[in-house]
Amino acid sequence: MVHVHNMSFGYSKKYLLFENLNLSLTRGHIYGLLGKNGAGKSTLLKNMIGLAFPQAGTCQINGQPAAKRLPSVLEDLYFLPEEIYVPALTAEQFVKHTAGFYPQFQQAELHRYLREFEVPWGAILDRLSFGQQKKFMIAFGLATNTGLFVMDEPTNGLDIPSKVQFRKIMASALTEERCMIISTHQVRDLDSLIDTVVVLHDRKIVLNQGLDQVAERLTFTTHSTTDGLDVLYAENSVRGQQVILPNTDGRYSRVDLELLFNALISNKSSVLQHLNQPEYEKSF
Amino acid sequence: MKNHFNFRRFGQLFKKHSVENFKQYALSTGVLIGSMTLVMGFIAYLSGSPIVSQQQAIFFILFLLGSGFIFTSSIFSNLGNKNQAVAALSLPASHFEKYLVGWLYSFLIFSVVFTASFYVVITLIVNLDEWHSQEKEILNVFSAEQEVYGAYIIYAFLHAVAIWGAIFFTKTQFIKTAFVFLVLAGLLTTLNFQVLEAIFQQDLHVATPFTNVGFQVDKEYYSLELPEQQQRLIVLVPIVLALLFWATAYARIREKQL
Repeated sequence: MVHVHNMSFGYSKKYLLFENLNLSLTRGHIYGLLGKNGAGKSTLLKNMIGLAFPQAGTCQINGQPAAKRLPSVLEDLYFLPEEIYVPALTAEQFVKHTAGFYPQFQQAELHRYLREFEVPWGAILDRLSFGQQKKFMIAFGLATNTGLFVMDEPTNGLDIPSKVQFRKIMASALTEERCMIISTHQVRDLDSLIDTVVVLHDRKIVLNQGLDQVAERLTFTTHSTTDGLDVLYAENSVRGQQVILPNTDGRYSRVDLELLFNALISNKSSVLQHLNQPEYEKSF
Repeated sequence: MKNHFNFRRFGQLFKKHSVENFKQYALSTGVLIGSMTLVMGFIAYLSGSPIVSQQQAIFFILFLLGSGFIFTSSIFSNLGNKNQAVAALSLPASHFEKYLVGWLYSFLIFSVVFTASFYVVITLIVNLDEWHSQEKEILNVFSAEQEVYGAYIIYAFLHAVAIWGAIFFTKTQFIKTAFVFLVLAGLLTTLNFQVLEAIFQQDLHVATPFTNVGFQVDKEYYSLELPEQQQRLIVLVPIVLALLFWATAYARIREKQL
């Protein structure tokens, strides 16, 4: 669905934010795009959807250059930025005049999402709190049923119950026809939501793997001591040492996204090397 | 072709723009009517007579160009605000449709609303008093005698400059566009004068860009201009410039990045 090929981009020609970046995203997945503040997550998303143009390489959506912003591409794409804009209209008026641009829009779904988010239908949008506005736009974006739904820091401004609701609704809205991308630096907000993790660090995509594959290769656990363990990465916590170990016995553990992210950006390459080494099937 | 223009989609976009900006446009029309009433009413009150049609023509031209330039400078202000720009650029409509909605509102619809507002105000002022039985007259903008309608052609040129500035600049579009326009107009006039003086190798009295040159030789004053039957071609200058600026503005909207 989204293909980024040898893309280079920078706000000035002297300093490139990305260099020869490659990334492919397919339908049927919820991707979590992780990166530190300033890593370029929002810029990468803007390039992907045609709001910024690569200096070299290409960004394509369904085989079309994103930078052209063709209506046929845009009607299958919904982008929710971190800072949203809502006009001074009621939700009903907004939907009446905007939904028609999205051929797959489902009003019944919108009402369901709004009920779950507890956003009033008759309210004037720009008079709602920021969190309510954001929930409305998330609900609207989901109801457009676009093949590509891109969200930049969608949980910023949401309270804790709304974040829980957000995860539930997002999970229920994923279909085989949809590709969802959620960019965040609040790694915990993506727990039990995404199925593929993409990590942006040092101008590169350092990881683009399904959580299943990660769990197949790595074990996330807590130990009182790391003595005698083949530790790939460890962090102190109040409960002891949180560690990442090679998964040698084939048992699946829950991927601790925050620990994995910290390991990847710590510039200790052992976790990455382990994830990227070729896997050989046992023949006996 | 559907990716460039589609009537149904354009209609939807036009409606969306109208609904979202109705209050602002209604208020702007109110301010325009109020300003014209205040200025022209004050002049009529001070002079104690209804404004004559020549004065009305001057007010018509000044208000049309001034208010049109200000209004057009703000027509794409949403592209200068990051949050609004994301919503505008990612909306599934073509660049041409988005540009056309702004163009229609700031040129065609503005011209109609302005002309109607002007007539409302001038009719009100002229009929507000008996003016000691002085003759009352109302300007006919479309009369071939005064040719006030030529102001629409100048407005087309100013509109094109303003709409280019509205898309090119992200903040304080009106001030920046006006500044660039005045600097360029000053440069053009100065350079035109200097170059023509170099060509004629003498002091010139007047050298207006695209129109005429005036100079004196042995106490004889000469004015060099196009033959009378070709003078109307000068009207093509603002039209061609307007077309160029409109095209540049459209290209700019296609290249807009955030």
